[in-house]
Amino acid sequence: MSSRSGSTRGYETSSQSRNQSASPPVPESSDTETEGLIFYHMDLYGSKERFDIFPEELSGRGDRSLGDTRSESALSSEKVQRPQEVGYDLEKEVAELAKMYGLDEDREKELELLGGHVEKVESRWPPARTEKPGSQGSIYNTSKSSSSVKDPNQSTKQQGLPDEVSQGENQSKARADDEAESKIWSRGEISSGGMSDEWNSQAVSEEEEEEEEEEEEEEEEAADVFCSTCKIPIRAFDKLFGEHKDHEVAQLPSALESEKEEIHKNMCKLEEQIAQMENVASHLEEIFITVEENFGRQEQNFEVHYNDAVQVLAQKYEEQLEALGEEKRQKLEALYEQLVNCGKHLDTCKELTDETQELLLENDKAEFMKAAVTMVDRLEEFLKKEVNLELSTLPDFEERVIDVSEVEQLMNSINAVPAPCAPVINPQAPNAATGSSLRVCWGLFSDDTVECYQLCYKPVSSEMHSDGQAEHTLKVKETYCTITDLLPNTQYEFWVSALNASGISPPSERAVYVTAPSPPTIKNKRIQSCENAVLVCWESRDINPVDSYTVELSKLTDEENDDIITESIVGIPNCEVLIHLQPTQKYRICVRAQNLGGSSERSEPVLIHTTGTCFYLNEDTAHPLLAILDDGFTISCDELENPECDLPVYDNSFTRCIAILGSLIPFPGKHYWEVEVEEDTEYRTGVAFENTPRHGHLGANNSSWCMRHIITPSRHKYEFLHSGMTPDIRITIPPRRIGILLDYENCRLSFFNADIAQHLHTFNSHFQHYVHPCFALETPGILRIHTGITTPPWTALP
Amino acid sequence: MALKQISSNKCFEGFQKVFEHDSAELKCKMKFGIYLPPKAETGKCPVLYWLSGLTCTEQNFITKAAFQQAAAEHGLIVVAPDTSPRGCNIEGEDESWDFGTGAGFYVDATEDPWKTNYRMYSYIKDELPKLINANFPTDPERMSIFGHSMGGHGALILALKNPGKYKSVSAFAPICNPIQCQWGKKALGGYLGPDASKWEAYDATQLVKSYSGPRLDILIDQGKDDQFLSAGQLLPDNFIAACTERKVPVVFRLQQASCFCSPWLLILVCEFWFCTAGSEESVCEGAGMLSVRVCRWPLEEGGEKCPFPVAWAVRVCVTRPVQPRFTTRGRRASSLDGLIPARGLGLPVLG
Repeated sequence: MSSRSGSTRGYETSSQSRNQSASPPVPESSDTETEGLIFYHMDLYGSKERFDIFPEELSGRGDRSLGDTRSESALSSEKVQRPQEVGYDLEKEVAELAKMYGLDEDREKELELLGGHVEKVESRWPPARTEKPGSQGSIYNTSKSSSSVKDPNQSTKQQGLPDEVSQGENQSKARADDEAESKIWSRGEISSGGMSDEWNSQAVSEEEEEEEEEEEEEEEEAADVFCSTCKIPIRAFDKLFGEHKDHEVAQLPSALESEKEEIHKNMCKLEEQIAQMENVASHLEEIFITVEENFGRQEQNFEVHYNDAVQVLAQKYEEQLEALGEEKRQKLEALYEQLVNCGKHLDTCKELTDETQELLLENDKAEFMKAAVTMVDRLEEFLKKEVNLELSTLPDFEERVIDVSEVEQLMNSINAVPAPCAPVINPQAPNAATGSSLRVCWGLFSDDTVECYQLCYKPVSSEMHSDGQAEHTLKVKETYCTITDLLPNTQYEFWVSALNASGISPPSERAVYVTAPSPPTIKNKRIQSCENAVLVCWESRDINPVDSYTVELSKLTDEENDDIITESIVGIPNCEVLIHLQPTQKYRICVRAQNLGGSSERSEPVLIHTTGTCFYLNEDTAHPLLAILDDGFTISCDELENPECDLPVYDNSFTRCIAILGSLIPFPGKHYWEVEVEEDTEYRTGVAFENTPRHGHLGANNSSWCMRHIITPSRHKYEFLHSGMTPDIRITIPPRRIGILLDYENCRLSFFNADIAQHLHTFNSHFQHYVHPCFALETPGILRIHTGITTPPWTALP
Repeated sequence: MALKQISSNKCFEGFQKVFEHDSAELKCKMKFGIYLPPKAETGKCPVLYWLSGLTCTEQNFITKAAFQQAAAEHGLIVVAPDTSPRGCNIEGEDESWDFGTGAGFYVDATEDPWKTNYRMYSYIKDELPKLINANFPTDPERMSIFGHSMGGHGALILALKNPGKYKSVSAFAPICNPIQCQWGKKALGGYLGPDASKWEAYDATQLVKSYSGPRLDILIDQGKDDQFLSAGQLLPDNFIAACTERKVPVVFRLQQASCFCSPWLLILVCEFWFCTAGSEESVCEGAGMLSVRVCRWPLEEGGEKCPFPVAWAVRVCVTRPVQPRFTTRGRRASSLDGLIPARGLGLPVLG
């Protein structure tokens, strides 16, 4: 299409120039015109915008047509003729139109997609229309006019005059004209009616080329509604009074739109089909080539094998022939020998007979007797000799077994190719393993025919007694296999052989695969968190070390989407990680272990609420007399023996002070927790460096800061101890619930009476290291520690 | 109630002004100092009333406290009224430093000849706030009070007698139980007459026993070596005992140091910390490590931090100008070096 449009443009101008001199179309073209004109239908694009194009197109012609300002009456005269032409070769044109339309669809769509308007399409069309020399002028104009049927701007019909090439101007003028005007014109045209038939016919045919609906309107001029029942455009007048009175009608533009939409949809379908077919075609091509190759190979294969077979057969034939000849010769020789012997025997008999007869003729008795005795002896002797009358050899063939097994084999091997070469096993692909399964892949270098593969594997063990390690063998059709029921995080050795009817290949090299690790176990009780971070620890469930761990965290919202992983932290070498989080959120955290083979399943998730700081009590540091109750956060001391008793003491535990340290997340933010105390319990609570002396009292050294409660006979006494010193502070209400705010950023540690939001004291210290909560009991009693508390607003400090 | 501006000095982007007005309550001309922070040019600010001690005028606080920087940063209007009517020509008003002029004791006198003029309680409670609210961009809902010595007594009784009026109250070395001490007996006897039962209406320790209202969170700082402490003028223990009994939360800090220098009020103000999210009732302590917490208001437009480096460094708290030199007692001496000027030992201020 595009090439056509390109060339027709050239046509257009040249023919245009021709037309300038010659008024009505050249006769020769008249016969072809009707066909040629056809495909145009502007109605599809009823917008005015398309007119914009014409000026551009025509600008070239405009030069030639300078001074060719036409009177409107002349233009209108063109229209007058149209009615006559109604019904002109309608079917034909419709067909053409459809064809054209179909062909143009693609481009049209394309353009629409590009956001360009139909104008562009149309701009290509006119040339197509005007392919027929001589007719184009009129065609062009009529097409305009037809388009203007929808468009109020009837005035564009002015351009209908063949000579007038200055349509551009006119069109633009025409655009400005209102409908009423155009109607007037068209009426005027009817009366004037001065155009040649040919022109009219052309004009009409143009119109007919547009959508069928248009045709009738042409007669009646401006149709403005579309009768859905009759599928034709009609005038609103008809709706009211005419035959369409009871029909369903729609405004023409909207009908047009819907029609366009329908067409567009169909075009989309076509596009899809084209794409599909192209796909199929390319597939077919591939298959074609493959078939060609395969059959070629098979031909060669046949040739080779049949040649072999023929050779073998020929050889057999010769062998058989030779053997047969030999046998024949032997038999004949034996028979001949027997024959000769028979002859000799016969001769001897004859001789004896003759001699006997001669003897009988002897009359001399003595002589006779003398000779007779000798004769009788000779005869007896002769007769004593056995005469072998049996055949020395059998006259029949010996039964021969013809060995065709080789040939059979050859014949068989025509279809079954020789035993394959050793396959090549692939190294382990990343993430192809799970904790209990491995996916092993291999391949063949040659294009041997392989019936199946034999895959063997066994766990790799460092020890030498490999006999204990069962070797497993599987038959696999494919060049991959997923082996299940394996041990996690374990190395397995794989090798594979190819099999076909002809035999088995040598085994491949051995490849070592490793299964993915087992999911780690998060240490739930060892989770430390605060508003902005969490410290998660876990342990591996495998004996063998893993490469790294991945932590997956998903922020939980009130809605679903729970499984959306919002963040993954990969490549964690050890079994703990500090993750920054957002305050007052819920997170679900899982860990996966990772090795060469892939990653494990997720661990059991833990839920983290970043509402406040959570820590746990480090039992290793507990004084032997200090007990932690089941909840993990209540410490108690029942009796106060000599604290320096003989109870077993761990390396890390307090020995003098009945104390315990918490494990606080090493995160430099704010941490708040509360301690519930009994009014009559003496205690110390605060923070301490991890290495604070275990044999000393909390607050007595420069590595701990604590609040101490002592009951004196007169009052409750509160000390705020660091390095053994305290300010003198009196508190009127003994706190039952002590709030402790550790604020690394502002270098402070504050104590509050949490029940009444009363500030008690603040230590200011640049903590050189991270500190941990510490708790100590000085009289029997209990302390309840509360964690995960949102830092109360009243703790806000300058 | 026309205000007459006596002085106006630009100070930390705000203005330290002194005004004079005719007091209807006191029937005399009264002066007060007011600091208007820069924020007051654009919006309403909370007001902090400072009540000075015996012998003081409005000038002591203005010139010696150096509170303006802190007030500027926190957007606080700080009002420092005089301590008594002046120039009333009452016989004997200037006879002693602990009675009469400079020693109004924040009571409404009922005895002649004092009852006409010496109505400092009503003046501080009603007239002055009205005047301030009418003439300056204040947030009338948010006012707090603090004071020193007699002023501490005034702050305590004003807060205890007017539950809810002040968002917080705190005091330096306040006269906690005037009916039991010489100063109190003299002043109350003079202003209220010999009937000691009437005095109880102006005695913090008595008032706290009958206090009911929004929870008060009182902070009192007391210098350990304060000579008036040992002289039995202040009697904080009585007040603490009463509070303990009544379960009124008090933090009483007996400070190691005892000296008087200009940063002391700076310290006061910088502790005047605005709670970012606290409710109106949550009268919480501010920077507790500082000498005196004055009060804390909910912050207006959330989240202003109050980093106050100077105040941070100055942690020694000082309550009384007994020793004319700095005493840090070694505790945090390092942080004080170079921060507290050696000067500033201004006029001695008594109770």
